[in-house]
Amino acid sequence: MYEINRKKSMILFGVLILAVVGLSLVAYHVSGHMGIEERFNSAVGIYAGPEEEGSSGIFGFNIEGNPLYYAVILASLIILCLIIYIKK
Amino acid sequence: MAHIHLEDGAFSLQWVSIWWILALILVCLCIYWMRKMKNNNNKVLTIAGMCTAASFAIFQVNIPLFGGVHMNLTPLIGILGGPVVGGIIVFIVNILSAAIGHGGWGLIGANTLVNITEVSIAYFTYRGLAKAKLSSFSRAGIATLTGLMFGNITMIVIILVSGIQGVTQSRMDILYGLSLLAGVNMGVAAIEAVLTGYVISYIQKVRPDMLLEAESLV
Repeated sequence: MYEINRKKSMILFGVLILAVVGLSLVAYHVSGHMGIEERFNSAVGIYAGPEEEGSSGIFGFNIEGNPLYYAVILASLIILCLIIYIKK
Repeated sequence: MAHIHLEDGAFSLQWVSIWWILALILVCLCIYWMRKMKNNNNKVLTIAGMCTAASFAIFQVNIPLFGGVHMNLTPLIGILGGPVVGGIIVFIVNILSAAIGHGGWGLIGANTLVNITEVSIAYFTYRGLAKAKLSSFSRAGIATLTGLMFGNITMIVIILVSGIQGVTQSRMDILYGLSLLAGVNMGVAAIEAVLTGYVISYIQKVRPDMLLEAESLV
């Protein structure tokens, strides 16, 4: 069994993260502040109308798509997982 | 995390069909492989179910960073489930997402291919780094960054090959725009890398057997 070099691991990962975040900030400043759909449409050259103002959600976090369907599907998945887990 | 966030009609019917057929072939191969291995015990099924629920739950949440971004935990799915189970999971998550109105039905095939790339690259990078004497946190983090970078590349290639209907921009302009978009996406990949690293290092401590399950399926 080999010994894990934690210091080397953290330095390597930290440098990678800093490089990625740096590049990402540059890309963000060049492309400007916009929503995900607006960013995609702008990237491929689709000129859509202004984005519909959705709910501001909780601290800016909101659900894509229909929230009711989201809740129903998520609840079904959780119940399914519980059934499989209990049967195990 | 890379996801073609365009509406139905952006790709021509020909390309929608091609990406759908390719995705279905890969998903069928995953199902065939699982059946062939005869290793689809309840533990794998439980991991798959939990990964599907977690990925679906987080993928629909619009995170208020850089104007709005998504995470979908595909590298975590790859590391925990492997590319075979992961391929099936991302296909299901894409279908469920389209069902609630997040993403077009026609783009499920293309998005499944993007996500299968993320799942597979993350899995093989994580396994490949096993002998590099790195901690599981760093291995999972690096695997996540690599997987998501290749996912973004696949997304760009699919869009460039398909072309967008009704736009006048040249492919070079689209490539430039998508490169910036991929750059912004990678900022979220950094957050996802840290999150995946923590989850994997925690699982490594409390349930290392869960990480071995994926190995038996490849």
